[in-house]
Amino acid sequence: MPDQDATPADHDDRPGALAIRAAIEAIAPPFDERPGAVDVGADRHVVDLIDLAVPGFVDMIGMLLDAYAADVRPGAAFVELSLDERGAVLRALSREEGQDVRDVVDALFVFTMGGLYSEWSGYDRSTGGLDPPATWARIGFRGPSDGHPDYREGI
Amino acid sequence: MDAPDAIVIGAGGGGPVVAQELAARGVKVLMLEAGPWFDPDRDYTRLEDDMNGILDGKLRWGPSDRTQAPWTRRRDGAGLILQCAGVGGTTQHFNAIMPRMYPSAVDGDWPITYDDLIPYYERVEAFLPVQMVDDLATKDALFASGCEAIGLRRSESTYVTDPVWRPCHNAILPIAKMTPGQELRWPEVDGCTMCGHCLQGCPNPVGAPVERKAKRATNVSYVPAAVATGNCEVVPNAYATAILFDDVGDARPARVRGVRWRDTASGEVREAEARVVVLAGGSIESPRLWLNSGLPDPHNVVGRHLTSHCQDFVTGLFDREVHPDVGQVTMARADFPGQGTLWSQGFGPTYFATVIMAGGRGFWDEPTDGEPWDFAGRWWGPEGLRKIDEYHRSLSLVVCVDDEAVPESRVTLADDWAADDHGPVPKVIYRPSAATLERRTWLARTAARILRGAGAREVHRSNLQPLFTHIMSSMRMGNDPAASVCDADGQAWQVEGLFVGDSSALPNGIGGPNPTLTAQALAARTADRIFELALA
Repeated sequence: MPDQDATPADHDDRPGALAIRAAIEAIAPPFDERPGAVDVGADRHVVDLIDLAVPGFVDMIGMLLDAYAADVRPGAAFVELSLDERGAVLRALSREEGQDVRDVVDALFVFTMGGLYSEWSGYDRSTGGLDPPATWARIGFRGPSDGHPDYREGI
Repeated sequence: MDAPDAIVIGAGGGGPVVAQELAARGVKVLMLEAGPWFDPDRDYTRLEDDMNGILDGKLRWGPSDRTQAPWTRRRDGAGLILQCAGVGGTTQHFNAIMPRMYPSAVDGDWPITYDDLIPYYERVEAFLPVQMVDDLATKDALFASGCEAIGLRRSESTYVTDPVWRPCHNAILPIAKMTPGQELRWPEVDGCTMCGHCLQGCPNPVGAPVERKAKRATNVSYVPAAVATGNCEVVPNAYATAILFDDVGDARPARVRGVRWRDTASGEVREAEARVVVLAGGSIESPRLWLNSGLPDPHNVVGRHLTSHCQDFVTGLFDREVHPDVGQVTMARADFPGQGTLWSQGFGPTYFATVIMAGGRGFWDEPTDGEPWDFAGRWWGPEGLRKIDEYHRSLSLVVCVDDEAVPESRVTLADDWAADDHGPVPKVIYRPSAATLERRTWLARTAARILRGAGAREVHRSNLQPLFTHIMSSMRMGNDPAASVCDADGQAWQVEGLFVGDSSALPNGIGGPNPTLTAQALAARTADRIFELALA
């Protein structure tokens, strides 16, 4: 089961991984005293999936983010930008028509959502042990079920 | 199996239908499947990342060893492609919605009539079985109220020519009789337990044998029936890499001889010969295999006329509980022949978060230019996360378009990408026509009207790059070998003994309805034709 108590210092410190973490922090930041995606380790989920799909691509994504960061604040790396400035980079990337850039942006968003809202942060695939993520209770998701006799509730 | 009479490539939605139909007549069938063979009780965990994770979920498009990378497709204009490897194919994941096609979609490209399909619809519907749901979950009743608010009448018919809303005809067993607090195990509980996990593979009722698993995916229906004949062997983890053929220079320039495949676990390469080969790997892998095999394609039609229904989402947020995680994921639909279809879509939190935040063009804080939704496109930050908090009060509708079958939309080979273990990888090119995009906008607006009619406080349009869950017509049948890959029998114009047995044989997108039933009916018909032409 992913270590939910891990500090950012325990995370991957490749430049590309740090840039991806910064992007995820902008996508799903902490607020209202609730943890953000990085706080539950979702950046590791994103980086692990990218490493699985295309080894070496983590660093290429980092370079892409840095290239667009320079348009927002000349001379700054992506990790040095404020959350709003990182949002400007995400906006610029989202406007690109090229399939490859579109896929990078989609991956950052989709995998962040998976890290935050799926069972990933609380599930051990090897044992089947599940500690439901806090997000489930917040959004009213009942979790895995054998069935719902009350399927007409509220009708 | 030594000396099969027929080899079926792909054990997804269509291949098992052909296999079962032939095996039941004494034909020896070898069915190859690229992915693994799961046991629903042991392997379906009901969890979104474990089952549906695009890159490493059990139902991904990839090898059974999840530490290995998924298999690759290059995409140009196509959004996320949801295709599952494994026995059962994407029917392991699908909603099991099983409408018949819109009769109006049978146009000049079709070499058969709607009436030709009716006996095969009846055959498949009786086999699975398919029936109209006899009740609605909360989310679907809400959708129905919105449909009626905009003037749609209720219909129970399978023959649709005008706009209506309908309780769905699903390949899901009738709703089980359940009482609160009861342990939901078979045989005390028999039928659908309304668990909401259709998309993660259906393991319910707990303890039920495959013939009583509620969602009638092919791995719990046609596949076990085929194997039970004693005439069908299924080989999982077997990725077909070449169709073997001889040049004969007759009316058909080639004659099929067999199939070569690669064991995805060991890497061993094997071959088998047979008089008949049935392509049922889906609309992406079948043209890829044809092209990688060097089969003749003198008119450059293989892989063309790809349709996908150009899917999108529109979501309503309500001031009441909706419970999108309860019930069959889809129990009600609205039909608009000439435009396409909409349906209520239940799903878990990851899919919902993706639909709301991770979407396509545009951003939540941009003007909507007078459109009937409040927000569209991508969202991030605290505002987006607060919208996801409203999951339990949300209702999402799928927009499913009657997209035109144009030759520019096609599957070819990605010459600029590295080949994988199975040869040059496919490139999926999608070019929706202007008419397709107009229909998509019309359906999205109608979805917003339905949601408002149901009482939605806010409406969001995802505006995705077209989602590919229905992938059709790239190996289409037709009247003209210059515009189609196979003839009215489903036999390839250019290759004797090679048939197409899944949704890739559909001449178009059948008007927008979910294609599985029509693909399976066509596969059953093709099996009849195979037997009469080549194996009787």
